[in-house]
Amino acid sequence: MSEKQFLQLLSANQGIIAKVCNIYCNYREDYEDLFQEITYQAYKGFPSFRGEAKFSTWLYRIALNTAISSFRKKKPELNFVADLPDHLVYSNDEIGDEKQQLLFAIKQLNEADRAVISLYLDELSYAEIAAIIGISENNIGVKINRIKNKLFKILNNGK
Amino acid sequence: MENDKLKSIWKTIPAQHRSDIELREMLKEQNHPILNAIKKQAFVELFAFTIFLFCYYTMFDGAKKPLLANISLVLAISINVFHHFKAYRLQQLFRSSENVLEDLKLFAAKLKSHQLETVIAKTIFIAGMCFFFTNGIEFTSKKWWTIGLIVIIFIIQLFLLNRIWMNRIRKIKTTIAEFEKA
Repeated sequence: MSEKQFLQLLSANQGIIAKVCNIYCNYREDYEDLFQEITYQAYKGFPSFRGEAKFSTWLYRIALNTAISSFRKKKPELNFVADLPDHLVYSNDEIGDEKQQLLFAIKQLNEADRAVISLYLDELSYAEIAAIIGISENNIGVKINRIKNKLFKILNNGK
Repeated sequence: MENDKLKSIWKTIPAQHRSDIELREMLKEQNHPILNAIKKQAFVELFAFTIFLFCYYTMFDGAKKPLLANISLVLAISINVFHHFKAYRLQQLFRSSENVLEDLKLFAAKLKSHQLETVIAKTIFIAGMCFFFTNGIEFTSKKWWTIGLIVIIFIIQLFLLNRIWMNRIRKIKTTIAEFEKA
């Protein structure tokens, strides 16, 4: 498949890369670097894409794999404050409180849980999530319940 | 917050749309931030070592030293330069098998062998340098102290470098364990 075909598919599915960058990066600089790294890795791996799975599923796998294994210089910001500085990926004005809180809560999870919950929130089936991650469907079901509980707890300020 | 609400909020988180031109630019290796930095470092080292190899024979009495000392110096430098290019290849390489968990396991194994190669390459480098520059020298206690100091600085540097690699490998292994945990 050609570069043109790849770009068409990438352009239509670039939201996946953005979402993965959102949950693994705290700073714009890191976000931009990771976005580029995922795009580059996907392009390098595109010849191996056989079309057996959907392109979006394949891209999710590449994106998560790259995000987890790439070396990000900056440590995550752990404190949630009302006014966020400009260099963060998003400020409250840009995306609103609820979205900011959800992103913040997801970032409190460990890296594996972030991957699973992002796929779940994107409404992928358990079978698809299991295929992307490489664990059984049953395990995915158990994990999702546990992660959702954690997430709700964080969103309700630990209550 | 309910389940469905979480999903609807998640879907509305905006993403900056990138044009095809911007995306095409990202496919070019020269625009890749990490690869560029490693490549730059590797080329600067290659350039510096090449200059050094051209000059050392006359400037550092290479002509007067035994063949073995010359070979050990050239070998030490060459291995180090080669190792930098391997680090570049490791970053450049597309790493993907069937699923995320498998990919991470493979990558952790590659990092582990790269960590070991780093320690070996750096040790060969300092050993080759020391062997060359101390060859034919009459050792006084001051010179022994100097050599000792160089070796201590090198060990500290190696320890810090090794710790960076270990932390990176540990981070990936922790994520693998988190995925595997039921």
